[in-house]
Amino acid sequence: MQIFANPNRFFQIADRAMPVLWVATLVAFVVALYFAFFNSPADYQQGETVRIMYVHVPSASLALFVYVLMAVASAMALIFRHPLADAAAKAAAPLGAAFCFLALVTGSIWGKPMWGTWWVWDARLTSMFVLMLLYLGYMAVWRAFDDPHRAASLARIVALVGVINIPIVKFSVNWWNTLHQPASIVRAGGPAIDKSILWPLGMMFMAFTLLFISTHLVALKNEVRARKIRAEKLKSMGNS
Amino acid sequence: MIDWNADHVSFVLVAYGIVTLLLAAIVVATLRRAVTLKKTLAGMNLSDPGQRDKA
Repeated sequence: MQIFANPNRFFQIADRAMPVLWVATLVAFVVALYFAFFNSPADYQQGETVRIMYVHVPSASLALFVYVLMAVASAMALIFRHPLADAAAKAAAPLGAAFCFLALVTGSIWGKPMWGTWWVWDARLTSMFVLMLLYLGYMAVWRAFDDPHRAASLARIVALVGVINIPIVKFSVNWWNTLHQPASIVRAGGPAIDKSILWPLGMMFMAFTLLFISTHLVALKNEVRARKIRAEKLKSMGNS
Repeated sequence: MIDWNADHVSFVLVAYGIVTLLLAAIVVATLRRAVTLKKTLAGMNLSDPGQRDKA
């Protein structure tokens, strides 16, 4: 972990990994899309709409994961004053928000033919909507202050308080009666869905995760670049 | 394999279309910002993070 504490060393390693990550992401998407469309069956009840699940579930999982990552990074910024922690959380927020938006939209598109409605205010959908608002709130805090140190202090609190919503999203289908189906992959007793559907889902999950890692590394570096430019501008203003 | 004539295939295509467009837009925007910031750093004679500082 020590080598990652030095931003320069971290980016040297990240730069070497980037080409491999982008190629792996592209290959993973091609394979996952092939399996999603051409090498998996229609569901006996859902028909072809089951294929929406291959993009809905990874989006939702990553929306939860990215928020946890932001909370962990915020905690590290608070406790260890790690130079990259705040930047990592800030760079992850728009990506998490995009995954959350995609989970809501694809779920809604699936809901219309299967449930007969685009939206219901059940516990899972509502808590996911709250997660979207938390992402937007977190990003708004960073934009609300000219002083990045003040913005970072408040953004850390938003990330850490908001993480309470993550178990609520996850267990909402167990704690309340919801139209959304209960957990069918990560649950006691193993996955409840057939392997022919589980494999394409796993591949798409890998593709989404690789895309997040690749994009996040570039976004993180962008954030450090922007900070460097800001610091230089402030320095030149102070000299003049 | 997908049956293109089955019910609700249009819902599947719309869902995949939205996902593709949004993810592609995010990747392109992030990479374009990287290029812009790199140029700004070079213009200020500053090194990119992870590279040795210019003399």
